Amino acid sequence: MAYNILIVDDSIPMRAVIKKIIKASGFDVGEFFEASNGREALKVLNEKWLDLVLTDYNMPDMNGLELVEEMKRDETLMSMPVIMITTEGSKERVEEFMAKGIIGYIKKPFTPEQIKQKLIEIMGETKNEKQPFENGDEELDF
Amino acid sequence: MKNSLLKMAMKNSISDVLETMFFLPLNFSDTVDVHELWDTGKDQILAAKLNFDGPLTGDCIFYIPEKLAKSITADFMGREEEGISDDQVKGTVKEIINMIAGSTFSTYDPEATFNLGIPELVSFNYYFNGLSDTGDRFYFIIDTLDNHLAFQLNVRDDG
Repeated sequence: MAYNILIVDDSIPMRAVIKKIIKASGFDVGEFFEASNGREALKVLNEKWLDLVLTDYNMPDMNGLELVEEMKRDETLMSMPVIMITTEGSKERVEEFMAKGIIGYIKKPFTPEQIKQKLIEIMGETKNEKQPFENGDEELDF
Repeated sequence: MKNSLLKMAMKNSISDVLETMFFLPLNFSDTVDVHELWDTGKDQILAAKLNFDGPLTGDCIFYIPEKLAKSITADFMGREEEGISDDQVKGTVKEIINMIAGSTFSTYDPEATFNLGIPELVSFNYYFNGLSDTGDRFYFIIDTLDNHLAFQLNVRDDG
């Protein structure tokens, strides 16, 4: 099954790097979608069913937690899996994220392996074993 | 005690972010005169600022020469420098300060919740004049790739 994935982060380079890590990790990805804050993400989610949302927390306009809260209020979106990728690392904040219904949490700074392992937990094993994160033109520098 | 813990958290976080995600070789410098860090007549220096509150309130500022910022953005994204836009460079600089600040506070006190503001690019000249290491103002100068970076943290209120 090919996964359609939405990456939500106000940093263009961070969105590009996350996308690259996922592609290079060999997951069966259909389409990537991008948004720079929670509000933009909701627009995408209202137009297209996605299999996974990876979102930053600290973003202008609507942060990642507000996005999750909006999704949980929507019958169509409430079951969509969300992973938070964020610099926020306090125990209380992580518990707050989990209580809101996210299915995973990745702390920045991260390594490609940390992203891959978290996605394996959710999406299952990758189709292609490409170690260490190299895939022709999809070479990663970290 | 609080200050030494905070400085240690800052130092570890700077290393963690710049080495883990950007593969920059780092050396913390204590010999460079802050006024001789960069040739500001020649080099454009970017400054990113982030406000925070919680158990500590204040702001932090990250300084990086634009050329170096462009180079690490290209490396980070796996692209040639020629294809890197100003927005991508600014995005990387803001992401760096966001990660260093988040990591600093979660290292300093894992039980406490800090609220981080949205990083913004600010005037280098305005803020750089305030670089100092007195009282509740701390900074680190970092040598990397024949250039320098600086990270300053200013605590205005410790609750």
